[in-house]
Order: sequence, then structure tokens, then C-alpha cells
Amino acid sequence: MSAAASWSDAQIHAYVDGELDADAAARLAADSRHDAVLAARIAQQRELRSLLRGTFDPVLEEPVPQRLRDALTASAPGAAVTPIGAAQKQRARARPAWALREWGAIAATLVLGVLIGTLVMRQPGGLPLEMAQGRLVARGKLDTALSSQLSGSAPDAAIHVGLSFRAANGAYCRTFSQRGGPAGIACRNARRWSVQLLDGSAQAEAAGDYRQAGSALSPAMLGAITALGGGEALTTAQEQQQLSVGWQ
Amino acid sequence: MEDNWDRERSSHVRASGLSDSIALLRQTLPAVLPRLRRFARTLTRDVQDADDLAQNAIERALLRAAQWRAPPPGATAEQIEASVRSWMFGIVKNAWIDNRRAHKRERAVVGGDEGLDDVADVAQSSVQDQLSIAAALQRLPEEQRLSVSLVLVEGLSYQEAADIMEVPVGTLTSRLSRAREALAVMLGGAENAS
Repeated sequence: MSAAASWSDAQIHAYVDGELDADAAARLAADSRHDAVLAARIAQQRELRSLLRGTFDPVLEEPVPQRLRDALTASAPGAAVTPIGAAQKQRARARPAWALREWGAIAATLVLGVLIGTLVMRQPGGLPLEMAQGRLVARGKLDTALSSQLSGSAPDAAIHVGLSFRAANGAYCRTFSQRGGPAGIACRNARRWSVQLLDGSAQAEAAGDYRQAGSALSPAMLGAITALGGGEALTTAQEQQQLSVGWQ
Repeated sequence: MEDNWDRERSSHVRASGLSDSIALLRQTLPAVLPRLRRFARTLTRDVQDADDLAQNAIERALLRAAQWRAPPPGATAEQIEASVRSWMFGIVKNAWIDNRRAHKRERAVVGGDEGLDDVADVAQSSVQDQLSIAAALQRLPEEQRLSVSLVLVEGLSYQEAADIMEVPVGTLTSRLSRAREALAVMLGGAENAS
């Protein structure tokens, strides 16, 4: 007689959701130690929860956009309510709708509201980026620069790495800028450089051209570095160490 | 005369109690914002749309601030925050559902040209060989998506989630069960591959 058969899906769900009463939870936990099928059913539900949390928890680390902060302090509560999709309609006027659709999914992975659409329209080649497992990751020359360029060492290169820092979660992150293009931040995650922010503002581009690491970061970049919990920039010696071990 | 004075005074007391409550709400809202954004993001994939949704909910909340029932005096900061959060989640849910209804009507009139959500999903799934969890979530019916967002992502209790959705707990748990089954089917390929 199998113990697993006596536990319904509803009970397993309640157990994983912390809603099963203590007695039943203890019995279920005990049964699961002797029953691989039951253990697997529990593990499957836990995996679903952690998959969801892994996907959406990073939103909590993002800086809250200024417009939401402004909405909080709006002194006249009689003001018109923002229609949902207002921002999208504005963007839709600026460029064709297909770009919106194509890039919607990619934008969802970025830390800040970003001008990726504009950026793509302006330079058809764009930055070498690709989607992998729901993240926007660097490839090609951007990947190479992030992995092997010492900060501030290649002011004339197409892609220039500004500085490196360690995020609060332990990952190594680096700022980069493309000549005449956007600036951004990428963090090392699962052996790829995952792009956290692309800032296509004129200020970021000017900063990229000026190429003074640190001193000319745009507010969006500074905000994102703060949000990532970045402290001191890595020294050249620390960077050399990381270059040799793959930024793990 | 005295009656009038009393009435004025008591209405003044009510008004100041109310303005205290509104002040407490405004003071607490910033702490709730990150989770509000996360909740909105589970409902609407596009970052800008999700922030529109959050902004819309904040504006609605401030318009109706008087309707928030502040916890009794002596409540901890955590209890106050939980109360604001629950109330705000309810407003986000309503704003989202209102918006989807409006969109459907608009779409029916315009003739399908504005179906951004659906088009994006289809384009997405044909580009990617695996269905991401975020994409899978978008394919669930509204009520199932809400139950997943509130319980599995936001970590609320069944009771709290049911209150926000304005349904009995049994209804919530059966929606959640159906959602879990549907997600397991949609993600089946992805799980094996990764």
C-alpha cells in the first residue's frame, strides 16, 4: 500500500504553500522520506514556486521609477488617472508597433525603463545581445570586452568597459559603453554577462564618448549601481585576478 | 447652537482622524512599491505597462484614500504595511481587470489591431523553443493568473489572496490547482531541457 496515494494534490499544494495544519504537515514530511514518488510530487511544486520567485523577485531590486515616486507625492488627488498603456502608446507613436512587440519581452528583463527600441532603430547592427532563458545576455565583442578588458584600458575601442564592482548578491558587474551608442551595466551570472541596464539617453552617450570612468555616469547608471548594491570599484589588481578566473 | 458646535467639532475630529489615516497611507506606500511593481509585472509582462498599472493603482488609491481602513492604534509597522499592501493589491487587481475589459471592447471595435498582448505572446513562443515561466503565466486565464501571482509569487496566505480576489478560499485553491496543472503542462518541455 503506497503512502503517496493517500495524499491528494490539494494536500501537497497546501503543504508547499504552508497552509497544511502542523500535524498533517509532519505526517506528510515523514511519509515523503520513505516514498520517492511523494517526494518528487512535493519537489515539483517547490520547483514551480522557486521558478516563479526566481523570475519575478529581481523586480524587487529594481530602482522604483521616478514617475511612481512622483505619483505618490502628487498633492492634488483630483488629477486625472493615468490610463494603462499610456507609456506604450507614447512609444508606439515614436516608432513602428512591430518593434514594440519584438522588444517587449526583452525590455522585461531590464532594470530600468530603457530606450532599447530607439537604440535598435538608430543602429540596425546594435549591440551584440541575445535572449537566453528570459535574460538579455552579451555575446560577441560585448561578451569579449566584458570578460577580458581591464576597466579604462581601451578608450578607443568600439566597446569600452568603465568600471567593475561587486553587487550585493556577490555577482561581479561591469559598466560598459558603446562608441556613439548606449551605456549599460552587465553582471556575471551563470557564466554569461546578463545585461541589467541599457541607458540610451543623450547623457549616457555623451558620457560614453567622454570615457571618464565613474566621473561621468548618467543618473540612470548611478541609480542602477546603487540598486545593485555596488560598493567600491574593483582595483586593477582585483580585476586582473577576476579576468583570470572568469569573473565567477 | 451647542448642537451645531458639537457637530462641527465631531466632524472636525473625524476629518483629522481621516487625514491622519491618509497621512499614514502615504507614508507607508513607498515601502510597498517594490512589491506592487512585482505584482503588476506578473500580470502584465511589459515593464512600461506594468508600471502604468502600478501608477494607475497609486492614483486610484490616493483618490480613495479615505476608504483605506487603518489598523487600530498600536499596530506594528509590519501590520500597517501588510494592510496597505493588501489594499493596494486589490486596487491593482481591479485596475488590471478594468483595463483588460476596456481593451477587449476596444479590440472588438477596432478589429483586432490592438491585440498587443496576444501578438507578443505568439511571436514570443515561435521565436523561443521553450516557453518561459513568464510567458506561460500570460497564457493562464485571468483568475488563475491572479491566484498564482498572489500565492506563489507574493507568498500571501490563501485567506489573504481570497480576500483580495473577493472569492471564497475554496474557489481560490481550486483556481490555483488548475493553474498549477496548466503551468506544469506548458513548462514540461522546458523543465526537461534545462
